[in-house]
Amino acid sequence: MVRSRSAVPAAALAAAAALLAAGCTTSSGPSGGGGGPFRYAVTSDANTFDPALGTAATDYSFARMQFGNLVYRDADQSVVPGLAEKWTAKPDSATFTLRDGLTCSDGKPLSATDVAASLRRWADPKTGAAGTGLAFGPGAKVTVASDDAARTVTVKLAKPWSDLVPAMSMTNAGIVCPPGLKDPKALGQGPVKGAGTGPYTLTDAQRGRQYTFELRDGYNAFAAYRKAKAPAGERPSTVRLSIVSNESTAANQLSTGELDYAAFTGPDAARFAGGGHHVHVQPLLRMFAVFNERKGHPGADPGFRKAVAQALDPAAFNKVYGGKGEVMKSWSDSTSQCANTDGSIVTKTDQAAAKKALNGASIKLSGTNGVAGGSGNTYVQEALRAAGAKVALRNVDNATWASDVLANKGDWDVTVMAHLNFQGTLTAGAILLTGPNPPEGRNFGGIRNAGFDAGFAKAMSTTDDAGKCAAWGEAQKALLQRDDVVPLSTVPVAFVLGKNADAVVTAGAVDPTSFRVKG
Amino acid sequence: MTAAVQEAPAPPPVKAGSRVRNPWIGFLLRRLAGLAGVLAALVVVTFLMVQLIPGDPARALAGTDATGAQVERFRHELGLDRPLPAQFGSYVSGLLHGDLGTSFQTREPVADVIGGRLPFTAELALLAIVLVLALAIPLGMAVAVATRGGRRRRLDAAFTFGTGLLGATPEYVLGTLLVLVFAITLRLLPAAGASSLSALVLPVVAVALPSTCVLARIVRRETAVVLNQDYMRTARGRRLPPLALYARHALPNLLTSTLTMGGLMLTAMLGGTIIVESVFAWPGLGSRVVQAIINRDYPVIQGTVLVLGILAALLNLLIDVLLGLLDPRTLTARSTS
Repeated sequence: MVRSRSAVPAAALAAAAALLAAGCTTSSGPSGGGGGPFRYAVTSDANTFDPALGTAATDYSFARMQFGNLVYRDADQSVVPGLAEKWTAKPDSATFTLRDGLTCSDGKPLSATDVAASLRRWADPKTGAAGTGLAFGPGAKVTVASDDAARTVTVKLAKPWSDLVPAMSMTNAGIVCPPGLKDPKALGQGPVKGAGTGPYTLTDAQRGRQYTFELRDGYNAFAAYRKAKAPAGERPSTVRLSIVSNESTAANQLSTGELDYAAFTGPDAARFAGGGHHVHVQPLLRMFAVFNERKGHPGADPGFRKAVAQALDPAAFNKVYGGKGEVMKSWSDSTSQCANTDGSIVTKTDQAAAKKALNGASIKLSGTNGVAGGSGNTYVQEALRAAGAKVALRNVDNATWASDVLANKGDWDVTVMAHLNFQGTLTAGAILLTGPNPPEGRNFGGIRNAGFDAGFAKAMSTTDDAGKCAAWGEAQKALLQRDDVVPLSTVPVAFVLGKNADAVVTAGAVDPTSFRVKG
Repeated sequence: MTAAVQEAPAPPPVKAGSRVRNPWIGFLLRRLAGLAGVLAALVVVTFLMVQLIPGDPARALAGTDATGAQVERFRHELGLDRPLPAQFGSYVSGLLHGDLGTSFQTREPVADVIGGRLPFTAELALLAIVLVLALAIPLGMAVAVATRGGRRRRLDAAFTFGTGLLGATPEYVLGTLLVLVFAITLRLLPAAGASSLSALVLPVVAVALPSTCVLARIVRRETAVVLNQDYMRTARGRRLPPLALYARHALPNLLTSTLTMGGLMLTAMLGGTIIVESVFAWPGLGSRVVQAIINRDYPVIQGTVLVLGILAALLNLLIDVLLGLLDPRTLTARSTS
């Protein structure tokens, strides 16, 4: 015991000294306001630094900073120049003319051959890249040719797919220079010297914590927005991205000036109303109900689908998520090009009629709890119960729901689809509602709707806006009249910029390469 | 000889005719055998528990827009299309070679994931436990001395109420209140992050405060018992100065229970600061495990739980060794941990 009396305080002092020393190692100086880096937060770390493989919002943010795209999307969803200064499009091909003087992040020239190699690698099924189905059509055969002298890159498809040009704005289509293509494993795990084509280079990576980007000198291929409001202030030479998983924490940091920008899907956005911050609300998730229409499930019966549509009140569903979303008339909202806004072709809420058809019916409802704990699923459950149905709700996390429903490995009748449609196009939802069943295809509901398929195919076969919208109109009408989907509402995201910050807000996104610091 | 030394525990009695053995040898052998058992159990449990999590890691990784073929390609790449015994064999073989595997989600070596996060969690937990011990022991002792024999009932009630209230306050509530007062209102400290030494203050306090209250109550009760012992009355009768009286005679007799409790608290802090990490955007291991569970990142879940389990077992061993040094009777008693 005598030994312990002297040992314990000494050990405590030693531990305290060691910990203070350890604490000092985490310090990198205060993150002050004006003059310092532009600081923004994302909710999770990157899965990959390879733009082709990105599947999450953070992956897209990293890709956007480091890898340029041939084109970008403006505030009105129109296509604007990026690495390409102009382009010509046909339903089954597009030719892009690159800007003069493009360089990779190591200063070496970026040729048309390099761009073609990057696109070829993205389109190659062996790469396992994300977004190719959306860009080229499911299972498409793609050939890419280049002409260095003319600075042109031509993408040709075996079948028409008129979303080809806008899809080149997807971050998955970010152009990677030869050093990155030579070492794809390294590209996925961190910055590869000379691989970038975007305005910023990643100069410091502390996984799970923060990342620092530096602006490239003389970069000349920023998105040439025409409709989006030009941001005020200076472009920051340094941008720092922090991982802040909790939205309330990000809101605290934004209100104390420790952050310049964060996005909020929950109630914390309300803290910034009228406080000098700039709040931009945009649709994030498009929510709609889908049925399992396979034999043996009640969704195979059109009468059942109609009754479910009559039992649900999209306006009430919208209120469940705070009432700030848009009540939809299709599987995407009115910001999507050609989206239906005609309420007359959507089944109207009629609870009395729903009761007649649903009384005593047994329904297995499935949904993800990743959006506000799944409160929308609970609304649907209660609405169907009010119509007399016995409803078993499986309210599970994203991965389980995806396995149950998208892979169709679970036993489900109705699901509430929370569609993360980053492209904001009708196509992004449509490819989930047609074609082969999983695992060969993505038609998780087993929908067979010839009218929809014909309209969709027609829309993909024309680059004329009017013709495209007419075809989409036919497709939506066919799907909505058979109640293959029940449109509900959007769940919005609030992009909040600090008092001295600004950025370009395009349809559904803030462009992180457009951040500005004012004053 | 002081009263405290008179009260010092005697070594265990030696049976007549038996060989005199160093009790440390048996103690360490028993504890090391126990540690080996814990390790083996951890390896099996960490492998099996991830299989119980519903959902498909390949689908989670491929994203909701992936085709079945893409999902199957991921499944093959991750080795999830192999039979379970084969997967277990690879897992154990990797561990024997010091390889914790590669993250499904980020393709980083799991050892790097843990190596990058554990220092932050350890920093938070160790600073918190130092604060807990530094506050709880003097506070508990002071209140016990001040209220000895039923004196100062108001102080006793205030201490009981205050420590009860703070001890029962959830960490996320405490953390949020601390941020509201010290970061948002007073602007004295950062609201979150790990970019400066000052950013440590609020998370450490949020973790330490409830445990401080709990331990202070234990110390107060233990001190009250010790103060009524005969040897303490004798020591008081010799009119020893208060510091000598309480620090040299009372404190050593409190350390057994205090250290045991402190060890358990530290173990809990190493694995259980998830909420505080979330509130303060602290890049520790807890928040990474939550992310791994959401994304069905089996190797990260397995590796983290394994490492935290080993740390907890080693910490318990360390506490037992310390207790053995303080009180040799524990060397032959059944393990407290």
